[in-house]
Amino acid sequence: MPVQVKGVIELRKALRNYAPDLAKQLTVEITQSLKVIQKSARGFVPSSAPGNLYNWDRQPSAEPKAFNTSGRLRPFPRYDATVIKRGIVYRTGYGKPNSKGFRSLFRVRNKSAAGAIYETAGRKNPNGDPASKSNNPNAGARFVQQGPLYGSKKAGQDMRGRVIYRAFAQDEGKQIKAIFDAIDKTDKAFKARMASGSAKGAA
Amino acid sequence: MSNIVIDILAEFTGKKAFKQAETSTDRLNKSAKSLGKTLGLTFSGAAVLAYAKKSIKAAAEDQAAQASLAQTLKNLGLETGNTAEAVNGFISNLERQTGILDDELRPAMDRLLRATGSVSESQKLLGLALDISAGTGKDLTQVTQGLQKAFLGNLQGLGRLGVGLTKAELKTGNFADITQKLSDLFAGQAERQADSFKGSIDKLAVAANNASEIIGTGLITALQGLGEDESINDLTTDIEDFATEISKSIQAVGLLLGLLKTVPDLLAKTGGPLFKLPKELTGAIFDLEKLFKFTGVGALSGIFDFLNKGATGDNTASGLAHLAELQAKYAASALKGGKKLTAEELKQLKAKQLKLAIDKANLALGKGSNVFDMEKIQLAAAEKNQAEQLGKVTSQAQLLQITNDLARLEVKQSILALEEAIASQDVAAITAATKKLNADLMIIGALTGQELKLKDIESILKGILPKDLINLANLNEAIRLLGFIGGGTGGTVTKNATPILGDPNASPSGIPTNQPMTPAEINAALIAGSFVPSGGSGGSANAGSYASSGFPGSDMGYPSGTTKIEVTVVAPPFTDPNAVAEAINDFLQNAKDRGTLVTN
Repeated sequence: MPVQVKGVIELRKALRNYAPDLAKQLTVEITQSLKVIQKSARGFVPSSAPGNLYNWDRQPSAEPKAFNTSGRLRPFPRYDATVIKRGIVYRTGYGKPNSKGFRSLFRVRNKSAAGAIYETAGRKNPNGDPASKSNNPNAGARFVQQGPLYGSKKAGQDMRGRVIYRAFAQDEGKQIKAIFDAIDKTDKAFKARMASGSAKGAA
Repeated sequence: MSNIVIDILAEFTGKKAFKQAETSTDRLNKSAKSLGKTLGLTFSGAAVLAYAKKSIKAAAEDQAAQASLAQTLKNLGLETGNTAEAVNGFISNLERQTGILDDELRPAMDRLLRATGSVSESQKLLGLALDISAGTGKDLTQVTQGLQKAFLGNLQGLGRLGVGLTKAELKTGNFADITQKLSDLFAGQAERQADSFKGSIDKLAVAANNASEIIGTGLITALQGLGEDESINDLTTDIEDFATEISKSIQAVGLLLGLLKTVPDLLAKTGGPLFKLPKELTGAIFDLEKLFKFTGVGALSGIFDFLNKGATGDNTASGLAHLAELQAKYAASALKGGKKLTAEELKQLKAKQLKLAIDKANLALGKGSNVFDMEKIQLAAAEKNQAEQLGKVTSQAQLLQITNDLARLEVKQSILALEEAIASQDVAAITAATKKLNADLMIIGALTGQELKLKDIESILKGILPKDLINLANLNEAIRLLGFIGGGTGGTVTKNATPILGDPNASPSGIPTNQPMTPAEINAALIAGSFVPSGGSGGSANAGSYASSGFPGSDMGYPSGTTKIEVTVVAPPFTDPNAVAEAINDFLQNAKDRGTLVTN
């Protein structure tokens, strides 16, 4: 669950302008917290394709150039634990505002295609979809059998998954608290510095 | 790229609506700037020319759309004299009210008319489509298509519009119920949007578009009146010339407007109105149609009207007739031009299709050439192999086989060459390749025809080829013969085999067999006393039986069976007994040596 805060963007701007060392320190501390989630998430990536999902990690002798002939331009992503782990990243830059006007400040992403599949498969059809035109209409059920989805789901926000969402859910907000603490600490340090007039540019 | 992300922290920076408002403001600014630029640029000749062309095009398209709608009404049997005019009027009103261009409304109406066959039903559905479009943000065309299909019985299309209908409703509901529900759901959406800020901008755009069309229509009419020449090229030149002139006129009007702006100050200074300014000129936002009415084009239009009014009735009638004639010619020329354009477009399309096909063919040929080359390589390798085999040939049959193989390879190569020639579409090459293929086929046919004959030759050749002088079978027989010759063993004499000639590998034609001795030979052997013919298991034990057999030599005094032989010794009375004993002993010894002595 993303936590909404106010003033962090301004604080970081101010830090960059007037206390770059504090800005760096804040980034380092936030990064440490994000790394905890990242590392934990990478630990949830199975080394090989989950059982019964035959051939997902097998490299075919002749890799098709396209997934199908109706416009998709890449083959179905193969399961590769290395690629998935490499795709679990964190970012500390500001995101674009979403449709409701919120900008992401810090985030963890599972950006590989295979990682996204493993992360979310079975969310929509945990019992399979008999009406699906897929070759494996019960894929959703199979995924759920191999490993449940961790996290919570609310209206308009599905935060269930097997990798980063699981890591985030199992962290139980410890890292968010750590990030808040780091921001508070930096904020106080910055204000103290401003009050003492030792900040860069302070008259 | 997937978007699996956890936002650890997020900050509210503003609502989307603000952004939309900002975007809308930007768009308004751009529209205003564009309008300003348009008005500003109209004072240059080139801009007027371009604008005039654009206006004429817009007017022509509008007229075409109106005509198309009128034709639809006529085809549906709905034209009752002024229906087309009424429908076009309805669309014009709708356009002004909603801010949606008639370019969209007219095809939508056309589509609904074709589906419903009723003007009133189509108007009702078009209103509903406008509401749905405004409520869902979907394109009016898309919504109208959905309604059209729904009216015709396919309600599924409505589901894709996201109008809040359940699958059950779509499956089981009827069109009337569904439209009623949609009317309830989207009531007033189009009106609300029209009254909104965006709607106002759209209305402005509609007004600008209509202004273009009106100007274009006016220009066409004016030019038809001005153009004395009948050719479309001259008419176009007239447009350009006229545009230059109109530019000058507008510049003059601009100067006049500038002077007019000083009038209120002048009036204020002089203390009384000379004349009342039209309020349209004093408003902050002009209605473009009215703006142009009061600017140069309107003035020229007034001049034109004035000149026409000044003409006599006959002249007016003849002028109108001439105008109608010119209009018809212009329409015909335009139609012809349109057809030419269509033909040209078709030509271009065909050229594009041909190019596409050629590209694809080249691609296929590129892929195929690899295979073809491989085939060539294989053929060459096969030929080489056959040539090597030819050097090692040891029989006519092998020679024949290799020749056949080579001929077949040659045929295959000829086929490939012919395929190549066909692909190159070179008639001479195709003819030559065909001729060569036929020749090769004749050769292989001849070879196949000779095959049986040559197979016969093969068997003959086998017969005449030298045989092995010594092989295992012959060696055994030779040893047996040598044994017979050297030791005289065996009860039979084997005749020599027929001399082996020809193929050393061939089986001997004369197989040696055991031959019985002739009577003369048996007699000679019996006389010699060294041979007793065998009757079965052997020798001396059956000598008695042989004596009674009646065979040649049996009369030589041998007793039959096991009867003892009586030997009579004739000796003088006073013969030495030892000498007699020795004579008997010698006799027995000789008998024993012959094998005729019974042991006991």
